[in-house]
Amino acid sequence: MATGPDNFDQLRRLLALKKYECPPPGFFHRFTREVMSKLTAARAVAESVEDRTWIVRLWRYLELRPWLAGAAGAAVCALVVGWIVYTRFAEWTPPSSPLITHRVPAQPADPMELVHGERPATPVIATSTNPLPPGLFDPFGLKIERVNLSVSNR
Amino acid sequence: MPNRAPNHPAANAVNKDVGAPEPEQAIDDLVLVRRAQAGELEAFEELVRRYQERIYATIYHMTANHEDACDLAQETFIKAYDALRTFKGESSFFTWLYRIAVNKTINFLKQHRGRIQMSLNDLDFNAEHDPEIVALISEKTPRREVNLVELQQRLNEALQKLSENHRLVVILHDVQGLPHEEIARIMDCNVGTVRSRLFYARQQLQALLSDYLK
Repeated sequence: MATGPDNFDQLRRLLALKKYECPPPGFFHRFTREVMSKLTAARAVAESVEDRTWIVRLWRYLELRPWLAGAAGAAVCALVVGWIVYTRFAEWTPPSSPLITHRVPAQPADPMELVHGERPATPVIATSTNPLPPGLFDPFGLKIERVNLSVSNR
Repeated sequence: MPNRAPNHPAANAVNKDVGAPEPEQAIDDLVLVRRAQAGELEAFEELVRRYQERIYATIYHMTANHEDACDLAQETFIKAYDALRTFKGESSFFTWLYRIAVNKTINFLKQHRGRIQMSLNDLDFNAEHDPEIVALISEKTPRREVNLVELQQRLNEALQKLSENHRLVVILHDVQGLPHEEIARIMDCNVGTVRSRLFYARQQLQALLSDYLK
């Protein structure tokens, strides 16, 4: 019997009843499993976010969006087919008349004339067998002069 | 009241001493914590197994609701794992884990104040044979089981009428068997505060349960 405010023996006995409140059988076994499976899942997600490269990230992004993956695949196929058709069409194009670039003299010109950039008289057909047209690497006909860059010791 | 076999795991759980861990176990905890910090999940699983009953019981006695206690206990361990890198070993793992559980529970109770419904666990078979509990029940009553369940109901209702801090002190000391010093570390207050809260909480409970304490 509780005789006063300081005597809590009866209350202590009553509170002991709380120790006998137990969860359902097997609860703690399931509890551990659930906690660990949640932790494992969270860890797997964290690791995949940290480690994946851009191609893996793109792959996973598309995995979650099949419609976008389909659209991307169709776009890639269309590009490939378009490229193939374009190259076939380009091969069958009839060759046009040879391109006349400029005239060259009938006789081999003086090399100095070529350096000075005088225009040739006869047209040159730019084909794979003809030599390079003059002035190709010197379009402005510049003269080359030796320059003395030595420093005098005064 | 359900009749559980004496060798039932729950029956074993209730008779386990739920006080603070022994010093050897605290050192062992630290080894497991270091292994878990290094990424070894098995080490953390061992810590979960070691403390799940005490953490669950504390939260359950605070909320008087099995489902809420289950969710909060799971969240406690998940948060503890996430925050394991911040554990420096200044306090024992046990104290640190209890702090997480207590903070989570008090926040939950504040958010759901007045909206929590009791969902009590069944009493263990052994309760009927505890002489201290038997002494509380009138021997003349033919339906003892009904009285025990009724007593459990009234006790939980009375506990729910206490403030969170007063309830926590009573549960940690009178139900879980933790010493005042350990409770002070868990609640981050001094021992004097724990003692005064405990005294006040017991007084309140005694008044609320006066019909059963004659």
